[in-house]
Amino acid sequence: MDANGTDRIKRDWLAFDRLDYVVVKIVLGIAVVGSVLFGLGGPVLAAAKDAPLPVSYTTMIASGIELPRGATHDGNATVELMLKDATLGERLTQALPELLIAAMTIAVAWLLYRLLRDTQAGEPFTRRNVWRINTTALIVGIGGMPVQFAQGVADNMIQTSGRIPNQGDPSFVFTFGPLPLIAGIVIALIGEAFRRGVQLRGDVEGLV
Amino acid sequence: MPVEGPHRVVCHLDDLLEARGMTLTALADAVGVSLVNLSIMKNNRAKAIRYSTLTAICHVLGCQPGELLSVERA
Repeated sequence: MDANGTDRIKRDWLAFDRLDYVVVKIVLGIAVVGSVLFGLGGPVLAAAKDAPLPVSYTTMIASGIELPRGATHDGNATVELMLKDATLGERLTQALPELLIAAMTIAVAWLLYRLLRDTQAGEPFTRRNVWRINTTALIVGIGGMPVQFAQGVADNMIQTSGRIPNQGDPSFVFTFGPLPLIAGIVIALIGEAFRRGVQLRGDVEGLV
Repeated sequence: MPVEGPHRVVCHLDDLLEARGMTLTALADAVGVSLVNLSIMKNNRAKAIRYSTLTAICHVLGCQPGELLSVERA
């Protein structure tokens, strides 16, 4: 009750209102369109124009190069090569990591969109949504691994093709950042909370 | 028997109402519970009952919870 004697309704600023749902849907839409444009459109356009294929290439530094004062190097340098007359296979393998990222982004956007729709309809606690959240957690947490693997396959394919000096046996570099894993675990915990929510909903449904 | 399994609680609301010459609608009005919820209870589709609901029904019908509910043999 305020000074005028009227009830004041406290607004929960963290609660989603209609505008929030619309904004999130727009953001998800932009993510999908961006993924399709850059992940699929970019490589297809480059292939159609027969544009040189950018390839990351690691080589040993043969002679002295100018370095900032006090700096040293480890003998290796990674350069971006522009490969002319790239074959379709080379283009496809080089595009695979970006395609995978695009596919995962679209998948996560779709899962979140469906979750958002159910939440807006007042039906968030369903087994399907638990599955959606757990799948999102899996993609966010370990989705980087297949991307790195695809990148390794693509780079090794180029390096062992004989078109550029071979740097030895094929190798794969995997880097594990803790952030995606932590994000995946947090999302998985939210999924577990939803699973409990489904159980509670089932209990309350037949309560008289 | 696991808690998650289906219950075997039987509601005798029909018999109690018949014995008192009362309708479900009249009970719903007297107790303050919706007709839909009482119907769910009467047809053994309820999963749980609030003590307050049970108290109110027993008060109106002048019975004990054991007369209203029983557990069917497995």
